Amino acid sequence: MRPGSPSWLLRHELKLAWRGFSQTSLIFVIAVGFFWLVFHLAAYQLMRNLTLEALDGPAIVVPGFIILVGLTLVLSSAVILAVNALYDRGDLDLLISSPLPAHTIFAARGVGVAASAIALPAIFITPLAHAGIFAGQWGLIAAYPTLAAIGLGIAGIAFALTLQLVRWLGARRARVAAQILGAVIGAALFLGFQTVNFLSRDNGEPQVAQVNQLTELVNSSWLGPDSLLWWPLRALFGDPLPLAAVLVAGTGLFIVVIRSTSKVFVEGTQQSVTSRARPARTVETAKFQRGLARNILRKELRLIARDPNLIANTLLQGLYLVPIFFILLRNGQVLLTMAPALLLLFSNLTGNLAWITIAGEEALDLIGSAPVNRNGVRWLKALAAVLPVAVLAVPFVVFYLLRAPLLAPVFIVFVVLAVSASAVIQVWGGKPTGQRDLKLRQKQNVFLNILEVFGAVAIAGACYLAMIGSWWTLAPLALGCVAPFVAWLRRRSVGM
Amino acid sequence: MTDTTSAALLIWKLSKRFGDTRAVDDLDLTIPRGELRALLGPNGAGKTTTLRIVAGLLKPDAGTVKIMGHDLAVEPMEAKRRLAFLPDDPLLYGKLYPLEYLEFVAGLWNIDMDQAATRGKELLRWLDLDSKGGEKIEGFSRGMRQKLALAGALIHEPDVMILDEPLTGLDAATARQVKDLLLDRVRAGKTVILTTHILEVAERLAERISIINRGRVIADGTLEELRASANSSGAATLEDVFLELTRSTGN
Repeated sequence: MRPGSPSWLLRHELKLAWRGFSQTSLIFVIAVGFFWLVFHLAAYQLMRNLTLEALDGPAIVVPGFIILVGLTLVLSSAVILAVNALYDRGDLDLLISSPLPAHTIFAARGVGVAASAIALPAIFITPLAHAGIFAGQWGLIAAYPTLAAIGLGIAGIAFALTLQLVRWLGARRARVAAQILGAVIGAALFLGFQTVNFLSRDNGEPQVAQVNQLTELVNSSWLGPDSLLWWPLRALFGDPLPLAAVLVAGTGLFIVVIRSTSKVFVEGTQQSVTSRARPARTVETAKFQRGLARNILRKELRLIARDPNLIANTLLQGLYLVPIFFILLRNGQVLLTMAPALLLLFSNLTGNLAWITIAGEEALDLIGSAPVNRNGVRWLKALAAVLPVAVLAVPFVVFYLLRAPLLAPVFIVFVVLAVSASAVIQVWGGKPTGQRDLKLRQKQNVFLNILEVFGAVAIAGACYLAMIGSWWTLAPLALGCVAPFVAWLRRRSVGM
Repeated sequence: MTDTTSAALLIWKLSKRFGDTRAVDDLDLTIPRGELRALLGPNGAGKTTTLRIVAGLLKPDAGTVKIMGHDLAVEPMEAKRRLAFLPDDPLLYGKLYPLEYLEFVAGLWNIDMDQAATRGKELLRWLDLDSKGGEKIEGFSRGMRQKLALAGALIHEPDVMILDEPLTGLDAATARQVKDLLLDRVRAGKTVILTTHILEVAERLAERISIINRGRVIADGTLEELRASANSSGAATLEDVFLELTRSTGN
């Protein structure tokens, strides 16, 4: 491979992408590989009946929608990858100042983004394609070029969107906007389906009328079997016209965007990560507040509130609970089953926030050299992590008070227990990393994460049993309380 | 032990090991009040480890550290209250505004908040950061971050300031500003201890220089005294003396 050639650059890009993936954990990579192999078995069962001919009717809507939802999520991750590739990685100055043609550099970078973005759907789609081919559907060989073309097309859209988002918001905000957008899109689509499902239940219309409406919708031009919306799915199955269209559109879009992107960068009109799209606001007044506790709480809450990345990664988890809420409401079990689900969410949120405030402390030297009790500071930080979760819990407490006053005290007690357990585990177990990056949390201390999940599940189970009035509630409750105790014992044993 | 009653910093028989490596080895050092002392040494000599122990960030294996007469092991809060430590690459909170950062630091040292607010604004103005008051720290350049960290170190009026490579990465104007500030502190009777690899800075700023090698103070004194220790001529620069002394002690 000649140094400086497009393939050489591409290898460099793919190497960086692979290292980004494989550094998560070897066990994770092996687990994904194992899942990919095992998924072939399930895929074979599915693909025996799912043929291109079978999709020539209303049956295309569900798999077609799944592919579309998947594509929106791929797009949101591609935008984040594009912001990283164009602005964060910081090696473009080196590359552009080299004698390599700019379009080669950006083409290689674009292919890297395409490969990274399409990797996750490929893990699900390739076993389905292999199983289909094994079942005699040779057209599914087209899944490979289709995935490649879709990846390239989405990378092209992501590059174009990134340049535009950066122009509007600045590079740093563009990445956060992309993350929030991705989470909202994913949740909103799911929520939309569930809402329609839920609202159509009690509207008094006879079921036949609903089926007729659905059939009418599916037969309409934009959702019917011939709709352009389903062409990506048809292309995967090797339907000639959609396949050709996806290949031409994907690669064509990629080429056009890459050419314009390289032009933008070579002409020097790009923004740097640190540039701001808007003038900064001015802070004229400053009235300092007295007291260590107040100061720590204010600082931690400010940092949490000003970290949209953290909010996107943690608080938006709540959005995904809404569909579950609807499902439970439909089944009439909401009062009993919502509480454990909420406890799991609150535990996780508290764990994340407590990790951020305790292990993610950036100015370790400052805190370490200050005349303060470090242990006291950790507890204050845990309190700062609990406060946003407490605010989040208030509407649900009100809901219980209104709908089931007898269950409300049980709910409140278990919320306090669940949230406290997660916070205490971090106080006793969290080790400072100096970085406010939640991704580190997964890698840093697997034992502590397992302990936290174990405690949360046990307390959630105990809550359910308490709500149905079972004495067995004490067993999982005791297990839930053991989790922080284990963190404490471990802290003593390792001398933290 | 030397006379310690007027010492701003007293280090006696300090030792710290990392595995098999002896980072600090029975180190003795006394720095009187109202002095600017430069600590020099080759990479890995033990300077930063020593300073981090003094700042309470590392626990020594053995030895005593006294800051303004307060034993760090016995009265850590009293000792720390009188100290400011500025690491070589200070990590600040990117999402805070400069005054918010200073408010937080003032809160950690539990000083009068009205005075701290006034002083915080003065410091920002003095360090030419007042126009950046409306920007989050994450958008600051290295020099601006260093200046803000310095403001944070000064907000509680420490008796002893310890600065690890305070001039690294600063432009000429900012470096000059920082140097002037340090000299002002010394004129005000405070003690400044700094490490630097820029020997010219040590030569110009410091009244006395301590050279650390292999975890010990191998030479200590004014430039003249160091020249004498190294048997160097009167024309020898600090660089010549430093290289001679560190070479003779086996670096």
